[in-house]
Amino acid sequence: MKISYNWLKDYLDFDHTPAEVADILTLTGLEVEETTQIGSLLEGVVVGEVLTAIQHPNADRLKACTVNIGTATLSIVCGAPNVAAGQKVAVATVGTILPISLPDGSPFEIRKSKIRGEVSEGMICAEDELGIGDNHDGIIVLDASLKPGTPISSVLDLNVDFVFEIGLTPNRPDASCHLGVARDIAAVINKPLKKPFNSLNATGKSNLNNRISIEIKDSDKCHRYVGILIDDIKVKPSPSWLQNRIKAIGLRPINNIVDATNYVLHELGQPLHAFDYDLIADKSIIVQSFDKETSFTTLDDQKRTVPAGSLFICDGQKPVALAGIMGGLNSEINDKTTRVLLESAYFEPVGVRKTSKQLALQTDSSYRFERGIDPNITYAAARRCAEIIAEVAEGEILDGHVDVHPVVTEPRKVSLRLSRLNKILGMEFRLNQAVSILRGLEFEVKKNGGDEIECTVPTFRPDVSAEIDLIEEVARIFDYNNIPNPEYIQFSRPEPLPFREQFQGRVRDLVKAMGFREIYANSLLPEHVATSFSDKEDLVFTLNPISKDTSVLRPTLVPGLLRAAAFNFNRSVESVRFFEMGNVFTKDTKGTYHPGIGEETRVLFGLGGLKQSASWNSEAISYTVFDVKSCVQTLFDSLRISSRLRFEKVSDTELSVLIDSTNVGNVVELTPAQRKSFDVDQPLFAAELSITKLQVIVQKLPPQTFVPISKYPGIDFDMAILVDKTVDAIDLEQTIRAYAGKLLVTLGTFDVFEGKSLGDNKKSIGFRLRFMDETKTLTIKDVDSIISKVVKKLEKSFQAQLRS
Amino acid sequence: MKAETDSILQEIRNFEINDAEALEKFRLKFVSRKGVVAGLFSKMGSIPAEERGSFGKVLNTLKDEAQAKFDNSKVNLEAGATSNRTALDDITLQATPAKLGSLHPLTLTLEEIKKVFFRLGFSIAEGPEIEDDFHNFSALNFPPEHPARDMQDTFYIHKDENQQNKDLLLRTHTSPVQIRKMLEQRPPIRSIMPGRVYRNESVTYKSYFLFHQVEALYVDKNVNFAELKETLVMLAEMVFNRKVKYRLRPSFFPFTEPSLEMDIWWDAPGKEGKWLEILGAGMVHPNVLKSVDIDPEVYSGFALGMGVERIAKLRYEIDDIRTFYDNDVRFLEQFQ
Repeated sequence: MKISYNWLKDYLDFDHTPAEVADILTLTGLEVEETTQIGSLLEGVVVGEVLTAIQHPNADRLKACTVNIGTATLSIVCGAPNVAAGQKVAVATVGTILPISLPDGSPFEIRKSKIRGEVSEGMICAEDELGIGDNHDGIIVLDASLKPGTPISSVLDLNVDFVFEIGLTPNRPDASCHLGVARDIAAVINKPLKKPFNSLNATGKSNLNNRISIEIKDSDKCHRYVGILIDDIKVKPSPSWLQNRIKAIGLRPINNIVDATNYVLHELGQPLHAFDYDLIADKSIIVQSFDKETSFTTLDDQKRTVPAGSLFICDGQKPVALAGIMGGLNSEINDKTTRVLLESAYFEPVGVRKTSKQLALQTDSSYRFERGIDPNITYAAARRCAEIIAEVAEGEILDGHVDVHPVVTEPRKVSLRLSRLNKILGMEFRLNQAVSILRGLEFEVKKNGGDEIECTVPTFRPDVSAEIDLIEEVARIFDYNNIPNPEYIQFSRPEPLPFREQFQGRVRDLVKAMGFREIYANSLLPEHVATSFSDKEDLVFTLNPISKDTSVLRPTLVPGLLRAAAFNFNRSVESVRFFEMGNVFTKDTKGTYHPGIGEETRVLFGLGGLKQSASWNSEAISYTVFDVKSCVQTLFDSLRISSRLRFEKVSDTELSVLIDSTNVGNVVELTPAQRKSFDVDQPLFAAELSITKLQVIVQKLPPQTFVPISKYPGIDFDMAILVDKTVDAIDLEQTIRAYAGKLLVTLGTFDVFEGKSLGDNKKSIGFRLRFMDETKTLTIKDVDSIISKVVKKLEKSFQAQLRS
Repeated sequence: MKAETDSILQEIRNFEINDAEALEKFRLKFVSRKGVVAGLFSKMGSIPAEERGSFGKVLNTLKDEAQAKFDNSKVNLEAGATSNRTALDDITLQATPAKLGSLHPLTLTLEEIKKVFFRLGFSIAEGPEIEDDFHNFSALNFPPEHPARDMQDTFYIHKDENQQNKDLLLRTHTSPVQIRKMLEQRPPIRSIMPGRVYRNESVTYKSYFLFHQVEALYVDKNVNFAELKETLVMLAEMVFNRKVKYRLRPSFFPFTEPSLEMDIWWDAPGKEGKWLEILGAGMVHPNVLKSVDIDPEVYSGFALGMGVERIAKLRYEIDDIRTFYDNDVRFLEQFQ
């Protein structure tokens, strides 16, 4: 919202600079995001006296002048027909930058030059060249009594202004106008506010001789409607004072009538609408809503389908305005308008907001209504606007008005206890300090004796409804920064950190230690990506994404890895080794926090590309799925649960990861189809594990204690087993573990071999078994029986043969 | 005599032994029975009796040092002679750097913030990213159909026909975790709530449809605004690791009152200094305490919240928020 510095001065006497005003506003809660200067102070432009003006020797239309500017006498070539000796003129001296642009858009800087052979050390200016008007017929001739050298800014009205861009918070509708902003400054600098109206309520006649009838059919949505008529107006451009005000706050002047309504909106915060009285059918206004959609063309010439329940202003036959949002094309002010019906109304915020949102149409008017305007300024604003229209359009205000007021808003009464104020703020205010601040904001304050006061809240402050709101008013005008910091702070006993926090930190550190880089990926995906990882019916969709790319919540962390890998492979990175910790979402009947929605924290680590670049001492080596599988093993070792870890084959490219019989994640080689949607050519491998599940498992472990180291050496036994190629290593491994008994401490795979010598469809896998006994040194005899048991079982289950 | 032994010691130390020939020369001169050291021993007789002890020590030092140098050089020469160093044994050849993992700058920043709060005695709590309207809005004093809801463009997941409270949405802030925490635990409560939040906005250099917040909540008897102020100053100084010039501006959040935003003065070398917003805060609104059955006449509290991206952008002078989510290795590796 834009607020003009000059305009504020209409309501308050102050001599603070624009920067000081910006600070005051910011520190009272109206944050000034930017201050912009409008117009130029014309530094370098001074009063000059033309001493001589003779015909330029080489140009008919130019004159060569000498001009006294107080400190010097300059030679200036001038092309204006009206320049003459003895005149006082505006001289732009060398170095001045004029507030107009050259045709190429660059700033117009005055330079010393030669014009057709004659030296020129400045410029005698016309109105348009100084940016103060459109006249270019000749130079400005100033008052003859002015002293040469006087800065032009102290001679001419340059319309310099400063505009504050205020980031208005939704609780402050009162400050959505100049008077309201001035009120906050007045409260801080403790000066009286000058209001541009005398009283809120009308005296005198309350009808318009039946020239117009007004009826409110839907009083839930319209609490008050005031109409005033102005006759014999002439629609034309506004006078410059009005145009300047309108332009200063970034609006485009339209005509004197519309400008006047905009002016009062930005002065008092009351949106107004002017109808062409002669276009109102049956001279009747009915405020009503319809229970069906209505087609309506607003004055911006847009035909809109307005949803059922929206409030309209109608004449005797048709809708003429969308209440509180925008007028209709059918009744707007035009060049031929001579009589105006001025509307000033209070429309209820929720209704305006609903319609405005449904139509995606926000206007200066709807912005204010939906935040809540002052329900009691309706008449005063109408009268103020009528007076301005009468002045700028030479019209005549008809005696009287119509004021339909079915819902009257009484001011709220709210009490404030001094003890409560001081307890919340941690201060020691005196009662009178609080009273004086509140009165400065136009709260009526009644002292009840003791430490309590009763405040009548002005109706322009719909946000103030409880004691805490009054406390905030006192604190913000006092300035938060003036509240003293305490010398110490009380400290309650800290809680232990939750296990979840400790566990996540531990996993993150472990994965990082294994050489993975952490990434942060989107948790929202395009639908076509999400469906390549999960069935559509399991996905959680957003209902209203602004972009298709954010339509589904991720069911897995894998797409984030793919996207990051693609981004980097496209930039010639040879190798990626990423991890991410984050939440994934699926449909789930029971739900984690809310029925229907499963939310789980997972960690993913994945890799692809070159494990080792080619260099003078090594060949290039590519990553394989085993690089990721080994990290799962290492992570679970560190978490002290690797003895319960099991892999189970799901497909040729996927293993599920189990602790006991609980699935806690998987290890995958990403399919070409999954990679293709991200244009990743290289194989990628990933492990994705549920932090939520692992956390529960690890939390149940007994506290870590020292395990004594065995005094006895172990014994290794190697066996190479010949089986059909179709047999999976994991099945052999599990059989060996199951039958080797407690003495088996590790089981390694030292060799995998296939070849003609073994026979077609055969392969050999070499396992190394280490046995250890904590009570004695084992010999080969001790393990012989175990080995033969294992071999027998392998022979039986897999038709395996022991090769050695 | 001293001068002579010193100069022999220097000679032993400086003697370069690069081949067998030099080794033999060294042996003859310093180690053999006919060498200079042995020669000195033979002069022992001519030394006055009272100096003999110390002279003997000096000679033993010379003898030991010469012997040790001879032995080491001999081993090294023999090993060198058999190993036959190749081009690949050139110690000046380049080595491949070892690969390290790294944490994302948002994690690093969040960890810094957590550390500060842990020092101040806060614990930590989490909640879901998909929330209902009750936790995200209505319990936090956002009335239905209020423009305050426009401050946060919301992704909806499910609209409940009958009860707006049960609408499901992507949380727009971490404040719903405050509600969860207060519903499950009575005061005193002193906890932070970090997490991912969502706004249904288009992507630009300064806005993204998701980001991360940390909020802090302190509810107890007698918690007041002055303490909040002091906490904010401690926080800013610990996060930025220096004294800060700050200002507090009144602001508006439905769930706190009075509400404020904190700016700190930012001087970048070669640029004009300016105020930059770092966080929002306020006293917990009595309506919020009531919505979780805590009596606002007995308890009061403060809450504060900040964007992790915003703090990380300031710390590392990153100007485009999208940089955090591109996961460009050239970016990530700067934080290892």
